[in-house]
Amino acid sequence: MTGEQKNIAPIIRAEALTKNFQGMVALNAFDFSVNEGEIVGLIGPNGSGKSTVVNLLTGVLAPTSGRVLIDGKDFTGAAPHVVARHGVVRTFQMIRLFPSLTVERNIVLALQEQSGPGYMSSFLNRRNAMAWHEKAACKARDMLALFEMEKHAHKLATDLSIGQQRMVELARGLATNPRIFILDEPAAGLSPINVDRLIEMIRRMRDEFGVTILLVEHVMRVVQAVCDRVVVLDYGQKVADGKPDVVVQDPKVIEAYIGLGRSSHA
Amino acid sequence: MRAIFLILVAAATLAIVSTVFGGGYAINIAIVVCIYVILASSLDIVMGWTGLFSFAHAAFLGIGAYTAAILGRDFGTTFWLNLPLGMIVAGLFGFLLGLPLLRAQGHFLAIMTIAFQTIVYLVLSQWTDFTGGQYGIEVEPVAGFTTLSSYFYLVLVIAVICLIAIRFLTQSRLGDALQAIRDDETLARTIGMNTKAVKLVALAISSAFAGGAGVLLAYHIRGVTPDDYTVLASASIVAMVVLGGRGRFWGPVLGAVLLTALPEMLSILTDYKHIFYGGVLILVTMFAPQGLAGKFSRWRAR
Ligand SMILES: Nc1ncnc2c1ncn2[C@@H]1O[C@H](COP(=O)(O)OP(=O)(O)OP(=O)(O)O)[C@@H](O)[C@H]1O
Ligand SMILES: [Mg+2]
Repeated sequence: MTGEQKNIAPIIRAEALTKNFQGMVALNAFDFSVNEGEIVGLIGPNGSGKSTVVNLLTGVLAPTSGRVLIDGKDFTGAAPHVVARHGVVRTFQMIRLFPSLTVERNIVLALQEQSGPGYMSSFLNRRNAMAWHEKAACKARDMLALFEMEKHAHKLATDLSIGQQRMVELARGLATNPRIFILDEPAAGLSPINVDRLIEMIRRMRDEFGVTILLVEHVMRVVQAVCDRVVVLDYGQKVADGKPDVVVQDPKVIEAYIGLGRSSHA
Repeated sequence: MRAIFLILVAAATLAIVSTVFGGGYAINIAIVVCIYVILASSLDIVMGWTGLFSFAHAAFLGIGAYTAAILGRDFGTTFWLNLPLGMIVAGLFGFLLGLPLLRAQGHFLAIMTIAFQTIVYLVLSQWTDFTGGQYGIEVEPVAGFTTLSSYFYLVLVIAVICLIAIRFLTQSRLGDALQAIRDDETLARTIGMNTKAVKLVALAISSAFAGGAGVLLAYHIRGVTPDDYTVLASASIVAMVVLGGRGRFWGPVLGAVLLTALPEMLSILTDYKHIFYGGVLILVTMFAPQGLAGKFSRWRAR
């Protein structure tokens, strides 16, 4: 609850962001921003355009029109790796890890791509590269320990349960010190106990690591527990933007999102 | 390290078997085996590790071979200069092919490699003034390695060096990046990887090794003719990788040894080599999509 007064510079901002899929408007003139230190929730019924927002912000999709600004600079249509190297890091609604790599290597690779020495320079300066790599492996293990996953470091990612894979995804993102960490439905498929852990970890990411978070979520319990502010989408349109308890009372939101009140106690 | 030890053991075995048990014929086969081991292993960098199907590997083989032949003819350069130059020129072509290629996806990418392979073949066979057309170009044997067995040892040593280099490459951080692209390119991009650049590098490296193999082949058969560098030759390298097992170090080595040596040893197969390769390709994709190495590694986890 500290984020909102402490700092008001938006880390990421969408201006009239619009995305059409073969004539179907998935997102329509969407304006929004996330400020430093905030945890912002993005909710809405199935198919309302939440993942489309995430894909547009991270460069996975190019918008039909509108702009994406990161730290005030225009990143509209930038490649995903460029966006990622500016500290905009994400997880996926359907968990994505590299199945051929061990858990630790999944994280080390993310570190390497974000901030490691290039392949050419590590080829030319092997000693430097090896020292860097040693540090990256340490960092990866620290992150895994934070998520209580250290004993799985050398397993293949796909040998883990869904809940464990989620934790690895979070560890991978957090390891790279993101400026903003975008989580697309991290509670999907988690047991209630794991949802509790998720809530705790999201709080710790902000409070201990200073990470700004955009949380796309269906499970209202998570949204209400951690979010400073909630944005509601319906049919690709923003219908509300405000404090969680206020937004929940908004008649437009209730209409769009029938079951919001009930599922908040899920 | 164990892999490098095994490479050396395998090379020593090949050297002993072919020199002790066979005369010139066996050594001939052994040289071709070494060349195809380089080819299959280098194709696997893009096909197995990165997941890009290429039917253009014989084009790079040809570019390397013709680079050596043309340089030797026009400038009298020696093997020791032609080998690295053949690799560089082939690598460069790999990079250039990659620029348009990597805009395409999946099947379309494979079709573009076939188109490139065809264009290279047409240039080699039609640009008579430069390439000698169907007659090709003669190549003088490597000074100091004019006997068959001495040339065999030279090829064997180079093949061992290539395999060790490929082993290092695939076990390095670049190897992880290649596997990441194969596994999930969107994810690779969102963790910050410039996947296009990595794929270009992989294609260039893979092509450079094929070019090196081409130089070795040109000096072995003491000449170049376009018909050695057709799409059928490309398809047989693909068959070796698929039979042996994609994305596993020993897979392409095994595939190259089997598919090069078997048709030579069973003489009936020689005339029907490409039918045999085709049959192998179909059977393997049906019954062992991970290849022979994949079958073995089921029994003992890596
Ligand atoms: N790549 C695509 N091509 C075509 N249509 C798409 C594509 N991606 C999303 N859509 C459509 O756009 C709309 C918004 O999808 P989106 O995935 O953003 O919804 P969402 O809010 O994330 O839903 P959910 O809660 O189910 O994850 C949907 O109607 C979907 O079918
Ligand atoms: Mg979604």
